[in-house]
Amino acid sequence: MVQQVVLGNEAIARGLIEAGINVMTSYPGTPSSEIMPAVIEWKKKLGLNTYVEWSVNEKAALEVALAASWAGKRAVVAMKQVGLNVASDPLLSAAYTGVVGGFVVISCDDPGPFSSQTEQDTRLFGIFAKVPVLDPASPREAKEMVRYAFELSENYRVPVILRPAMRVSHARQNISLNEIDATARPAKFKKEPTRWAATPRYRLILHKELNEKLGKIEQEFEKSKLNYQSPITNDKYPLGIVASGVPYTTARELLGEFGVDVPMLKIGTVYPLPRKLVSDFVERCERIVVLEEPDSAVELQIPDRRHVRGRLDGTIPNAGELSPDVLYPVLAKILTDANLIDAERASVGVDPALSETLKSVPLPVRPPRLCPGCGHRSAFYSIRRVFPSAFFASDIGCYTLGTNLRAVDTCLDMGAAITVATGLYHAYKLDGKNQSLVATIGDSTFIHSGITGLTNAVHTGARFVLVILDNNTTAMTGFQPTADQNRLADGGEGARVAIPELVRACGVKFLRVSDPYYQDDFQAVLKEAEAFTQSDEGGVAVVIAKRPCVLFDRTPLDTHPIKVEVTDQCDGCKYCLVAFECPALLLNPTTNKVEIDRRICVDCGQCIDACYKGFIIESNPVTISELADKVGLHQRFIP
Amino acid sequence: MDCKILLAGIGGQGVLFAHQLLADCAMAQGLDVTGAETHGMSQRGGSVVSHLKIGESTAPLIRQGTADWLLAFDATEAYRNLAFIRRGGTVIVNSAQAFSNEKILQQLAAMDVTLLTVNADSIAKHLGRASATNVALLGFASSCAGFPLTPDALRESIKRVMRPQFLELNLQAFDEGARSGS
Repeated sequence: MVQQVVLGNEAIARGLIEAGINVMTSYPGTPSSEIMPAVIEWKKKLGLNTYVEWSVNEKAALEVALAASWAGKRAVVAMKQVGLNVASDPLLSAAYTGVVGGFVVISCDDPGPFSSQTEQDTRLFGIFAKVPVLDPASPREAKEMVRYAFELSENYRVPVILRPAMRVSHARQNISLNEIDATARPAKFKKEPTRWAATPRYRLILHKELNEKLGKIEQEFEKSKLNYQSPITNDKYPLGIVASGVPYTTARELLGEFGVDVPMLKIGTVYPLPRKLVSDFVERCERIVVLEEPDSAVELQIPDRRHVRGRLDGTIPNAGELSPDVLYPVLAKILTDANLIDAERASVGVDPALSETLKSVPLPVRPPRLCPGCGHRSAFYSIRRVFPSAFFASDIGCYTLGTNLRAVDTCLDMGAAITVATGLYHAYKLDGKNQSLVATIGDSTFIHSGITGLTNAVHTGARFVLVILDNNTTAMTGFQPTADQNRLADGGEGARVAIPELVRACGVKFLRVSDPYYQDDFQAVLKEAEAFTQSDEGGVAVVIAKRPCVLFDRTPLDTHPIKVEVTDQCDGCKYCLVAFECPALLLNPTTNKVEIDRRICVDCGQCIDACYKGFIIESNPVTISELADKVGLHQRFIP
Repeated sequence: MDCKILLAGIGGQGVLFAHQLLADCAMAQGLDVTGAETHGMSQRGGSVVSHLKIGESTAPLIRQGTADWLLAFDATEAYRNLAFIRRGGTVIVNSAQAFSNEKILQQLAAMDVTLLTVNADSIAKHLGRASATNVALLGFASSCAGFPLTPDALRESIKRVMRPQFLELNLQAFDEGARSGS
């Protein structure tokens, strides 16, 4: 058997390929983003006839994949957990309508959280939506579960959720490559209005049908190999552990370190919970501890919880990842209380003297920052200069890091920059006040969820400046194309849906496209935009700040580098460090002067504007005659 | 064999690639591997830590105080992750200078921890390819007593995983690192 070391998301992708999927849709989001590219790689390598798309948002993604399943295709949609909020409307309805071809929803959770606005639990969403949920504990298991998920979906004609947590998606493990299911599944949509277009009367029938399906699925899960107990014992036991997902593997290893054999019931099929299997186990143990994350989906479904401890009663911390460092002292206490280990063994861990000393070592803090040369930094810097007293509503993406430049005051969810600015406008207007407001949103986020909010803002007469930070890509999650490009997920050519046209179609009367690298021009445009919001006929003014992501497209910097240096006059006032916040600007504590970190500086020259005293200058300023040639090289990113 | 290796550095130092090399090498010898990586927000110029377990365990994270090896690609990141090393473990730091914190040195000695430094940056720079630091450090590590993977086996992995245009230089950096260890 061929073995390969892969990322969890790549293991899932391989599982999808082996399951013979016909259609995959997705919207990128950490920790789910690597599934689609890995599927595309296999599709190309093996010459598979698979339809793939980066959809404009998770709702569109789920609906497109679902409809393909209604036509008999095997279809999958992948997203991060908060994406499922966006896709929840069709998901709940799809549980009722059911599916034809296997339909699997992959929603990656982020216990921690590491790169999300919530620690929400997709498994609870499954319970709420009445959709079966599988919870893998490792990349290997995730790959196995993918195939089973399609079988389950087709056998009972229901959507099935696969919920990998971040530590599965971004774990790395060796997996086996298995055969690929090559079953032909011709598109064949069969009209059935009482199902696909069901009115409330038929919806009641479908709800009852769904409940019946769930009952049968629970029976199947009672016997599923995805749930198992080890070690197997029929005796009464002082303590038992019920665990699902990554906490299972963590606890298994920690119990080994403690050297105790506590019976564990591993649950792979979290919803519907095989209640008989779990109840039998619970009854045989004097006390039960439930280990799961990020919330309490298994624990909540246990019928008799009198002897059950977990995240609900605080025995297990009820927020944050259950890393081995978190779980170790918790398990040590539980095992000590149950007289399974003595206190001495419970204390084996980090050398306390060493940890105490380490606390006193001063270490550089490395918070996430915008990259050197990032166009967002230039845009934020100008916005701060033009709007000193504005509220800044922002959004989800790299540019949330504009908090470092104090140019981001709010970040709620995808698209909310525009609606939050609208709400703030109306709130202040009620008091007769004219509050300065600037909203910032990325290109991909605008297409994802900004268009409805912008239509709403224009229609209701809100007045604020909206800056669309357009870097030609979905940068944060790995440079997926947006609908504003004509590039499709697999490299094929698609039709460009231009952001300026979308903005105009929303009824916006002021629209300028400007390159934030030309800060004087950009600031003039911002002032013009502000004036429009204050004019009699004014409303929302939109400025598209267009500059490609430096990681995605280096061409403009390579063709027009501007090398800078700091003059001897630098007085160490730190204005540039605070206001411009570029990682390549460093203060030398010995000389008390700012220096350029050449290892990471990308020669964008943007920091010249960040020293208002003029102590950051271009290293080799060009002569007038050279300038003419150089201007020809200038690339302003304006269509 | 069960072995836990923690790799620590800064975004851009090739920590994840070093992890992939070690994992590939272990797998080629018929061993199972499980590990964890840092992605997303934390990757933007921040500290990068990756956990690698060779052997039966399928739990991705290493608990503090239990790592057999700490491979630090940056001295400050070594301090930041020192709590992971177990009694009797080995710490390898990419650094031009030796560790100077007396108190920590004493405590590591009391824990029977072996502390080794190698100037992998200088090896890589000398060969004209700064990004080969990670491979030079792996070369050094593989020549240390008790490291679970041999220099020869790791060399084979580099040949398998590395893109051909950078292969020769990286093999040189690897060998140079291995020599400075033995």
